[in-house]
Amino acid sequence: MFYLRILIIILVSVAMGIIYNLISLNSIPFFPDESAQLANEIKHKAENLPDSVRWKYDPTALKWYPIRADQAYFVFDKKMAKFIDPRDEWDFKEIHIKGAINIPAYKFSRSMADLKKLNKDDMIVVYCEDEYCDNGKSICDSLIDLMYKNVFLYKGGIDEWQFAQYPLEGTKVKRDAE
Amino acid sequence: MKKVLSNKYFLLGTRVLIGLVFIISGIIKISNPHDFVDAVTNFKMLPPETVNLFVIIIPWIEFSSGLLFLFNIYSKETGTILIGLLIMFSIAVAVAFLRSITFTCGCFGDIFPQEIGLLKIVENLILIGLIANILINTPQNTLENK
Repeated sequence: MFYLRILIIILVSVAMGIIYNLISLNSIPFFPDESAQLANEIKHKAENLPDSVRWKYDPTALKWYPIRADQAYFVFDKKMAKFIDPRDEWDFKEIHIKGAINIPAYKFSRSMADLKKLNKDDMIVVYCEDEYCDNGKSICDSLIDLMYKNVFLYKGGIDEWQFAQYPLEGTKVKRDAE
Repeated sequence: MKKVLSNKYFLLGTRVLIGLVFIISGIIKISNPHDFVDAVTNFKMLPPETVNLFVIIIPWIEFSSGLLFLFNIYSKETGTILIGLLIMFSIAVAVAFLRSITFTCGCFGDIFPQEIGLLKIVENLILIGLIANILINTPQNTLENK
């Protein structure tokens, strides 16, 4: 009887957990998708970086994380993330990562139509020209302020992406192809 | 010492304390599963595919066992479950501590952040001792004997 009661208590708790998760507004998927797993893995790695290379760290707040070229390409290839390009329209038209959304830093506002294409849980990779470009960081900060949960900064930017010969779009790419 | 441990007010006090600890801990995790997913993932002990199921189920076991234990309903069974949970949590904390992983354990979500460490294991061992003392010194509740 003792073990049966334990089993019943556990089974009832399991049932309550499953039912609550089905009806809750704050529910999580029963099995995590690949993108969520990878996001967690990158976050964990970023949190264990030494202070000298950790760009922004605030354990009490949402934060964005640096992402390397190979990780950025991985999430690009698997279509796990949305890429945001904060450069101006001219530079964006010229060349950008394939499928990226242009949200120029100087135009950024919380009511921008392009922001509505993003869900708060989406994996978002922001990139800029190169590692010296501050617009990427400022867009990451703004997205965090707007409560986006999975924001990553691809520090190497379009320069490194181009150098690695990863997929690009834009008028320059068309010209070069011709 | 034996007198103190079997004193009915001491037993009542510790029962309320333990019941509330598990109820509050369960409610915090239930209300913010995303934070608990992050905490469990940080331990790197479960296969990633099972983390969400663990996060969905475990807080409810904590909550319901804590509630039943508080009201002395099936307290032998719920006490055993709570001891099992505490042993499981202690092993996880000990392994993370030995691997020199440092992060908040997620035991009470982000509301009361507690660092992984020996102190957390000692806390769990004290709770296990208190639950065992209640199980030894308290007669079972009327409800289950009816």
